[in-house]
Amino acid sequence: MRIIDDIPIRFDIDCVRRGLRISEEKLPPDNLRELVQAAESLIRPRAIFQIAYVEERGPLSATLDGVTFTSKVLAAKLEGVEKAFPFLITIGSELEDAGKASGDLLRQFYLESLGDEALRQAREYLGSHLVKNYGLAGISSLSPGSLKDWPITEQAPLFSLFPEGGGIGVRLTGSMLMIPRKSISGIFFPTEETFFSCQLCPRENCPGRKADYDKSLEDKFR
Amino acid sequence: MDIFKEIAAAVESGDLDLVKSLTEKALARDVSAEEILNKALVSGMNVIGEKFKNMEVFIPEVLVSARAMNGGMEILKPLLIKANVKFKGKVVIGTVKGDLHDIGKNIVAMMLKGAGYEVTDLGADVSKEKFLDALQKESADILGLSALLTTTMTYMKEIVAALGSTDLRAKVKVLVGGAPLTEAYARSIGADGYAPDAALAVDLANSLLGKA
Repeated sequence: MRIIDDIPIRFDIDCVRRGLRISEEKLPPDNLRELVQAAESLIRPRAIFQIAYVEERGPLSATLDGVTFTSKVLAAKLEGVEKAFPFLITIGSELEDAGKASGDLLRQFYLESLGDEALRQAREYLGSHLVKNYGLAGISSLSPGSLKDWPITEQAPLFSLFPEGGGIGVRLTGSMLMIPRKSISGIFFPTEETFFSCQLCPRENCPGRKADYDKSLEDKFR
Repeated sequence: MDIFKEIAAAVESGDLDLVKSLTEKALARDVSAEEILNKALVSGMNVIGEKFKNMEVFIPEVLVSARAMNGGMEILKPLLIKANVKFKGKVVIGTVKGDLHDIGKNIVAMMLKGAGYEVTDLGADVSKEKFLDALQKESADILGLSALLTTTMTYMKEIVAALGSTDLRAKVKVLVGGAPLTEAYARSIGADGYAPDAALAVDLANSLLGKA
């Protein structure tokens, strides 16, 4: 297991404003800068991953390091893959705690949005780290709960690979909620063409969408 | 421009200080707290709600306006209580047991307040017993349930079933919401409605209580 705790997070003010979709009149530049500075001082991004060998693969499941994951999509994506990289990433609880403690729903919303962006950057950083350090041509990831095919209950076997929260302080509750809430989990795997689970998800108006839904691709996994 | 329109415009533009000063100005002119609430504050939030549904504004602007509206509400609250003014309806809302996601639920609560409802927010990780106790205590008209995980949304069925075994069910309408939910799921557990976002939650509440 490898822990990465020097993940650089940079908030681009213009990008943040565009992402929040709010005018300068409603959120003046000084206020936005203060929010960004507050977020920067509160986030504690860290990640843990391990190299897991694909021991078995069938049409409905794949076994990595003795742990079986039930997912047609994951199994298909691991075809021809020797090793994959299960991971956990968190930015800690300080940011969400500060948002709640403020008693100001708007501030909480802004800080949580910045937290989501920090998580997104941390995932991207980990992906790039794996590509660079393991000589991969490309990389994609899947997370339990992102698709019906790989439900959130599969967090349990994933977390079995990271005892004691992996040393980065992430734990899984009985209802499969990760604590701190601003945490993500999944498996990175080498791909030649980047794949997003969004391609298989028909949900409309999703703020987290990373790629267009492709029904013909989804049909292949039915 | 009449004072109601001025206040509504200040709510729309999210000007907290202006909403407060105009609310005080209206009260000084002997305008009733109830009229200021319904013809100005709620009216302004209704416009924002429509703009949100039409994707002309997004969550942050809704919250900016809601904060401004709340500023006016805080001034009116003691007067509304003194005059025994009835709210549009009473809502008990919470995120179900096992789930800690609350921001969506908080936004719904705020929008319902903005629409003239009295809202008791039980927070997150709420048991069915706590929901039922609150419904009884508040004589609520609506129960709002939120869940963000497929593993926690199943608890909604238990809550609806528990409610169904009491006399409260005849009076209380159950609204559900959260990312993994659908209209079909809401029906399957015996809920009265499902809202995919906060503005539609207000519409649904109004429709279920005949306040549209």
